[in-house]
Amino acid sequence: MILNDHEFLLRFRVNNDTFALPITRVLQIVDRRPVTRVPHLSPSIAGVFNHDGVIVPLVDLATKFRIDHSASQQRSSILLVYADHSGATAPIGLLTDAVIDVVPVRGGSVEPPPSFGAHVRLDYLAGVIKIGETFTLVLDVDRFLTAAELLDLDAAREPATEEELVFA
Amino acid sequence: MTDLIDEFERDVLMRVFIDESREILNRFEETLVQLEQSPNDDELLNTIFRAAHTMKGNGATIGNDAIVELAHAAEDLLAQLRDRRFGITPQLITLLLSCGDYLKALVDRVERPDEREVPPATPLLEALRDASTNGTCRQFVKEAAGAQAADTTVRASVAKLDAMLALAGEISIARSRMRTLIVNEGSRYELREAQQQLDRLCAKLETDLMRIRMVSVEPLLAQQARVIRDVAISGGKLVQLRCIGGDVEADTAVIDQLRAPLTHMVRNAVDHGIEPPERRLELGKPEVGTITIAASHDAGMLVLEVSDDGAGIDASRVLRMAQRLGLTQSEHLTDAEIHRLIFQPGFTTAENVTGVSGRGVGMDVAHQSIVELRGSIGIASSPGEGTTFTIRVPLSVAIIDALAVGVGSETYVLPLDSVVECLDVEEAVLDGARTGLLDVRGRAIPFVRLASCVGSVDRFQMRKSAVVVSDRKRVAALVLDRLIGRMEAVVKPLARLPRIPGIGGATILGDGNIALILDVPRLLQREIQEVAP
Repeated sequence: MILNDHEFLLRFRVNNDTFALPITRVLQIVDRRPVTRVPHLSPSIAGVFNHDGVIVPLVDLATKFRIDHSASQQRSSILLVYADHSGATAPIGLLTDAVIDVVPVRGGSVEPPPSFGAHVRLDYLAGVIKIGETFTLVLDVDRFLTAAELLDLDAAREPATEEELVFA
Repeated sequence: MTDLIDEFERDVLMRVFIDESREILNRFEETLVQLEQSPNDDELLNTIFRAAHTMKGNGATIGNDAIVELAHAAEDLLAQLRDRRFGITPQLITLLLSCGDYLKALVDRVERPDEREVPPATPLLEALRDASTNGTCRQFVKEAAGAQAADTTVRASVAKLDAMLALAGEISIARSRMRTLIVNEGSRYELREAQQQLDRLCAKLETDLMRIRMVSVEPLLAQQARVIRDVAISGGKLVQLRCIGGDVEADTAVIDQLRAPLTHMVRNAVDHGIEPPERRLELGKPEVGTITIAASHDAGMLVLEVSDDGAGIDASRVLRMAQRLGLTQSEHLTDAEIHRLIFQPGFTTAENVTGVSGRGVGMDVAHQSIVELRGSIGIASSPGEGTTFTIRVPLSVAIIDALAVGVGSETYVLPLDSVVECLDVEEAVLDGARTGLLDVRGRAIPFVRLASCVGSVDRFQMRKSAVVVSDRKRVAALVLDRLIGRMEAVVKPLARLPRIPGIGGATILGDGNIALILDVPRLLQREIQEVAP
């Protein structure tokens, strides 16, 4: 994922960390709504919810990034994002504490992800941008939600791969 | 803003290009296979030539040089063939088919630019140019075709869409009438009438939508010609395809899911069913074997009969192999029971693997895919005369009759066709066990707690409910907290999530929340694997 100068970033908060996504990837911001748990998935998938008749998986960013749960959290906003560039596939929901604002990329300078010091696994990051005095971690949605990460290891022994082999 | 519009138009243009190209390339492939059977048919050759030409033009409109170059090379060769400079040989057909495969891979790449790289077409281009100059085909490296498209489209006539739009208008009038009645506190009778009208209109819209999703099975059947050709050539067999009932229609999702199992069964029929030409002549059969795929409708089901005029299933050999593989101990099985053994996971009769079929992961997977569509496969085979597989699947998978049940605070949905009966059970009888046997009118039926299958917490309650379910092979009782009731469930895919064992999809309940639909065969399979050591 490459950030262009003319793009805008949507900044949001998960616990005390500030994250950002290119605004072109965000379809909509919706309020938190009832979520149906789906068995055998990784704990970072809170479940699925109904968005205008489409079933959308909800990723709990706090769990995914192993951010401390003990601090008070609102967890009130869901970002509906396109996880791949074409937008042809269904969106996914990201559970966040609050949406902050929209800022132009131009306003800050994007640096490559730091090699340490961030709580987040590096491969989810496109870079770090400094806006004012705050460092914002820019997420790389293309690497989000790969099938291997979604499945709980316990359920992964289902011989589904064999099937794919045969009919590939 | 103009940027956005441009981007939008570009997306639309790409979509049209991708859909149209796939259609053209499928026709290109089918017609090539037909041409091989009747090489003197000028009309077929013209169709193929036009397909290559259109691909070249379309490639140019989106500025894809690789597509243009390859389509152009194919067009050159086809022009030579059309002028009858050289004869049409199987090698040339193979070359052109590979060219079609390659073009398909290039189109896939247009759709998903960030997926894997398509290797350069240089060997293929050289082979095409060689062939255009001297009509011979040298060996070239055959590249694997791209993955099948994930996204499918259907065509709808504007008249049908207009009718649906008119219905949507009616629905909005009915809604505002309802609103007025509620605001003005209309009579019970008036409200009831308005609600019934709304129901009727919505049901009509639903039917119309389902109708639009229906597509003809023709392309699915015609595609098998290519499969047959490839397998026949590599196995040294002569086989022709006969299709009956191409105008039969089914839901596009059903057709899509039938593709893999059907292809597999057709491959098997060529590889295991049809005898080599010499053997066929000895037996007094026509040299060329025939595979017939007949499509028809029967009581809300789509029926596909795949039959070959080959050797039939050798029951004693199947039984011997199954015993050797440890799939059965029994000696006394009827022919029908023996035939079903080929659907057992791990079954194979091939003493040496041919690369086409015989890897032992085949028929059971085809069978499983059909079961997932809530369908069935039947086999009829007579030695020396051939085998017929009969696939029966529901015409549509979009709406099912279902039973909603509750576990703790969660709601799950069971397809009604897998439900045998519902009973009340006392917790005392279950003895707190996760699994065990339940006495249902003197019959011992294994039970499992649904809460443990779906990984939720089981609440203690004196009276539980049990739903006896069956997948035709196994019967089991699911113990749960409460029965909610029958419903019509609109099946929605769990988009973006991997396949979860035991979960067949999801549906939206009356309150707008989501309930997961249980996939009973998978659930039972999983539980039995877990319970047995």
